[in-house]
Amino acid sequence: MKTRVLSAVAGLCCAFLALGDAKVGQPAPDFTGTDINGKTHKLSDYKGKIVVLEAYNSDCPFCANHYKTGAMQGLQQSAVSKGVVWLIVNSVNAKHPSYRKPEAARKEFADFGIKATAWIDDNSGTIGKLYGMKTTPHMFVINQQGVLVYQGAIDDRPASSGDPRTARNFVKAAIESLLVGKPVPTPETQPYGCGVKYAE
Amino acid sequence: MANPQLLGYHSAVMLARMFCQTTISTGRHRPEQKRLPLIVAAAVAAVAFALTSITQAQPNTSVNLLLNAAAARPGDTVFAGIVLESAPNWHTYWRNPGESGAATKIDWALPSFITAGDIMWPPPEEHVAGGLTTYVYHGKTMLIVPLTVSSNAVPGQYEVTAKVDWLECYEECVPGESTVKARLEIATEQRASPHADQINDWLKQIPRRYPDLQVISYWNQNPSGDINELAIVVAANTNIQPANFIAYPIDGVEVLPAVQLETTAQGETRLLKKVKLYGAGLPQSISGILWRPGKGLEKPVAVEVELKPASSAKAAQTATQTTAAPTTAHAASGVAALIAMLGLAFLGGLILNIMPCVLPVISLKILAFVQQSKESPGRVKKMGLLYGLGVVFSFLVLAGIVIAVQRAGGAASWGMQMQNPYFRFALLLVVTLVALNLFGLFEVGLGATVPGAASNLTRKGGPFGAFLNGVLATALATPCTAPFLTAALGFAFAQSSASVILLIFASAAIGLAAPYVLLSWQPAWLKFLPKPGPWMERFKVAMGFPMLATAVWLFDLTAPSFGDGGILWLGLLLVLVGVAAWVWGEFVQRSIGQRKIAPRVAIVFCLAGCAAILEGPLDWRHLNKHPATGTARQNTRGGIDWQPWSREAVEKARAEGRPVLVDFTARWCLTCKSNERFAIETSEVREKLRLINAVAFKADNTDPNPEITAELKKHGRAGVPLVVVYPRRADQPPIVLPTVLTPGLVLDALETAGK
Repeated sequence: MKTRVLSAVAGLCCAFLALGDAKVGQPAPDFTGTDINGKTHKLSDYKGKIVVLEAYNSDCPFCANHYKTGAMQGLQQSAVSKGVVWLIVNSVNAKHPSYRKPEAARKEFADFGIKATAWIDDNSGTIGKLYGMKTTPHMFVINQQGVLVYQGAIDDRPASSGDPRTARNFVKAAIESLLVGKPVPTPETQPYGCGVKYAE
Repeated sequence: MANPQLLGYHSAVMLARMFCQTTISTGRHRPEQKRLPLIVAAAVAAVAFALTSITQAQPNTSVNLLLNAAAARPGDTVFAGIVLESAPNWHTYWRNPGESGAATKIDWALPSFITAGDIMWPPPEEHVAGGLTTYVYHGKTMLIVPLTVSSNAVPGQYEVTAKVDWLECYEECVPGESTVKARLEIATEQRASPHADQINDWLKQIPRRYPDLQVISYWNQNPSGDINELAIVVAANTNIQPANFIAYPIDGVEVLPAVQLETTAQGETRLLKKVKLYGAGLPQSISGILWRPGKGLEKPVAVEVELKPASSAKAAQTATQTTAAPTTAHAASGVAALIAMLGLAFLGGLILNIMPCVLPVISLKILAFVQQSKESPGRVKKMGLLYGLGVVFSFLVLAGIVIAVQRAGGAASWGMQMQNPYFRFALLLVVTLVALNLFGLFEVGLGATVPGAASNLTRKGGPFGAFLNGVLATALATPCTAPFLTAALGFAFAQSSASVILLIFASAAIGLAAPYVLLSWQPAWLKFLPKPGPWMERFKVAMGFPMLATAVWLFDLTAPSFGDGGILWLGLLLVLVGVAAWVWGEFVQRSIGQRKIAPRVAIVFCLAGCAAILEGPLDWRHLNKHPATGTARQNTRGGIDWQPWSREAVEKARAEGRPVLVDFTARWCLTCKSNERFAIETSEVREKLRLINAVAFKADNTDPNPEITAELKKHGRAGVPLVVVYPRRADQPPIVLPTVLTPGLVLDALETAGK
């Protein structure tokens, strides 16, 4: 009897610990976000498609390197052409100099030749925190059934210079596996980059 | 101007701008296929541009290369210091940057006969921003690299070149790169450079590895998903006092920044770290630093350790037992430690029975046994068990309070309910009534009150009475701690696990209750007790006096909480309670009359008087404005010159090179009082303190004080008493004295401390 009470207490503690970030292998938490063109995107509307979430801040040298080398645009282009929905999530708070107002964001989207499906303005940090996005670029891949199948770094090369295409790209590998119906080879890695700059 | 920051910091992005203008001028509705080659071309150009744009002036961090030698001989090792100096708020990163950021990198261009070793990193600061923990350097730091000159080096003038890549962050992150050079002469004589002292100072800060440092580590057996728990136990006799373990980077393994710090009963520090695995198995070896932050402007301190975690606490223990000295052999952790602690708690509970706190209650128990000796064995057993249940129940309530306080982020300690003036007041009332009951003023019994049964000692106390007796025994036991119990409770209070706290409290409760439960189940033993008779009435009254003494002691503790008029009005209140009890016993319980209205009215008047006193002069709703302790009354004339304790005061005294004695005490703590009376406030100790020029501090825990509770926990104690002696030499660890003191123990500790 006593042991049962004790284990119940212990179980309760574990339950508290388990709350938090999105978990690989679990249904990806649903969200609704507004993109820089005012269009709303609801994750559950994309069921049946692979969805990539990219935590974005172009002032972060790690992100900037993926864009200035064209590697990110190339990956986006190739993914989107295969039916993948690629959502950039910018959770930088509105008071931070790295925040882009929709107008500036639209210009940056065009200037950089970004090939993502949409750029979601998440300056409240709601989506970022829902997924536990830690750094830019922190990447998430959600499969056709709406299950989170990858979270972590974009590749195994945490650097702010040089050519990212020489690295092993985990997002690319995840998408390719999903497209041929295979399990994702590396489901989780430690993200690298700059902090997201959430609102306090 | 979409992104002025990016443009400002990295010229490579300028190209992106130029490229964007191209895309705009070529039309934004251009088909995708045609646009892609353009992007690729631009990207390649950008890479090329980035590669050629070396050493741009960095406004936030400057880099310098210093060598400790101007000239070195073949075979020597020269230390190179890469000095990074960041503008205020900006920081660069340690070898493991943490949850974001990037470590500084150094690429060397050296003569063929010089080889560069690994970077030696000073202990980093822990930096938390936006919910992410990183390990960084603010201001000035020096990364040190040993340069080994091979024995076939040819004398002459050479140049050593380092290309330093770093990431600096404040509100945003900027990559930096700088190439720095220094000249080194290879000669037949060594010659120090002007920077030798500076490099030497920084070298002292580099975390060193101590082969005889007693650290054991093991994986805790409660993995949840991909999170594992690593336990690191650092022996008590080290000077490290680590606040965290920060791991060097390992592929596929993330040692999360949060740490759970515990002090074990043996005074060891246990650090619990969550380790996240990314596909990899549990690492065989984890290197990193045991780290503690600098106070104020001081720099953080660290030692390097390589952990080879055992597969479980048990395995770690066996390993230590077979390989290490006996002192670490009982550095038990996990299940074995728990069992040992449960045993200690039981023993401690047993010994509590003979501590002065519980003695008055024992008199009640002895009487009860004598009364019960004639009764049916079944009933005696039942009463014994109920008493035991009362004890266990109250201990579990105490454990529940401890858990609740800890969950709420507060600091719990043994006997902390005695810090509450309302608890002291309630206990005072109960003890006074028990004393009056023993004097025969009234009877306790929840059954029918039989008229004329005034001296009917054989009357059966109700089962509820037996249970309440157990509760009272516990309430009175808490101001005392017994040997053994301190260790077990210290262990329990350091646990975050509710079940461990409950188990240890239950074990102590069983220890406290055990003698009576056993006696009641072995009626044969009761034969040794004298036969019931008229002596019992006298014995009962005689036992009323120790109970009354307890009441006086509680009165002394409680009255100051009620302010200036406390002694008078609280005393009067107790007299009124006594009158009510007498009227009840004499005119209600023992009266033959049927109506008994007048006495009941009288009792109501008495109680109304009590309420009026409480509301009026005692102002019982606002007790906390009167702290029970005043520093003024701590020093007795001619006694030790006690100073009020604070952590800063202790540090200041130690900085002055004076030994320090700290007495953690409370007015309700009887063990503390007896220690002070017999082992501390003696002429020998006073003389010794004067001889070694020591400072004596008194930390008074009569009222709640989280700082004191934290300090107690640091020394593995759940509550007062605690006496700590800090040696004169700052590099010596403090001496923690046992719970129950003798003058010899204190004098010996002071003797050691004065050296």
